[in-house]
Amino acid sequence: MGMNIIIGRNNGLPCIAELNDLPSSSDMTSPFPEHIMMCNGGLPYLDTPHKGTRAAFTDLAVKMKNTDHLYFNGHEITAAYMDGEERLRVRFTE
Amino acid sequence: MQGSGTISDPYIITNASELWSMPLYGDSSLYYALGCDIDLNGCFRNGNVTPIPLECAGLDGRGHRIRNLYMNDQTSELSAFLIYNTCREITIKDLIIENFKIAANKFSFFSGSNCNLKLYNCTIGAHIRSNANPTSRSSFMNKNSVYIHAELCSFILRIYANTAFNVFVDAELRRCQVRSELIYNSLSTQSPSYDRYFIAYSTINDCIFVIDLKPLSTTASYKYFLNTIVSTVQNSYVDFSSSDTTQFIWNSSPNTPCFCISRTPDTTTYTGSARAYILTEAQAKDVSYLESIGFDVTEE
Repeated sequence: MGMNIIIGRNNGLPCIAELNDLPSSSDMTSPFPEHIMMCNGGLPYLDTPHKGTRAAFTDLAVKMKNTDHLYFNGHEITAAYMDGEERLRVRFTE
Repeated sequence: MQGSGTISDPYIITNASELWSMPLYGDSSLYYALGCDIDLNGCFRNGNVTPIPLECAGLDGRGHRIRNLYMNDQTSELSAFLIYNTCREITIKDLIIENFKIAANKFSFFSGSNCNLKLYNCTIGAHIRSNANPTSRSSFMNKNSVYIHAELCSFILRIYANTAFNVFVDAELRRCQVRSELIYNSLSTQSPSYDRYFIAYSTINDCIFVIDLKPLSTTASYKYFLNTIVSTVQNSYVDFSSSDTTQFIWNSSPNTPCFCISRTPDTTTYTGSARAYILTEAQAKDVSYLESIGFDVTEE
């Protein structure tokens, strides 16, 4: 079968035509899928590496690393889940 | 569940409870399909260490996703999917597994015994932490005697482990691509036993491996062995990078021309073998050059 070099695919390297290109290292699996990154009642912020910087969840999904901590109104988020209306619910440390 | 469990009228899984209910319906001749995406975030199973049971002949994802499985028990041996002993062959197709996060003492993604697991057009994305190595003749993807046959699949894996271990063993990969971010506490400076290769006892055709190695401790002359002890490797390539000075070794000869990409600046040293070429990035993008070494590629 072989591989293909296709303009605009896989940074010019051989690819498998039927498959989407692999994500880059920085785009490895996000902490949560981007489309559930909705916030109800305010914006969370990322502790590191941008301490104090407020950002939308959609930005955090791209920027977060495994070692980062996500905060909401000063509380660390320990769990997050979707409710039936596609809103993100989060749990905090008190 | 809706459906009758036949290949033309499979049981339709629409939520987490149904996903875990195969053994209740159970036997190994039944067929299942996903009726929607299943998000395990916040469901009763999230954080539970019970793997998703597979007791069926086939699971058709129909393009849907199972996402956000979270398991954390670093004293136990865990798996994401448990294949029941009654199953000798299972086909999983058109399924996206996304954002599985599992931390265990030992971990293999698919566990079971004496089963051929056929994956077709699937994507598996997972973060894995395994404190100890899986059982002998196992890998992070499959426990011993689960034989993976994957075609047109993508594996996107971030693996944190104490030391290097097989990512695939007893596998057949055809037209697949693998991105692995490997975070290891330490690496060997010696030739490894058979269970320290990225791939062992496997057949590889037309595959792409992107390996990003991140050893956490520093020792001079790390060695990382791609392949492929007792394996057949044809028309595949490796894009390897390391955060440290590592020797990347193509340990045994592929069966047809293959290559890895040596980037500059790069502190990695590369060791090829017969039919295993070390190419620059420019050469790896050049159809004429690839054809000249016998690599099967066409330009579109």
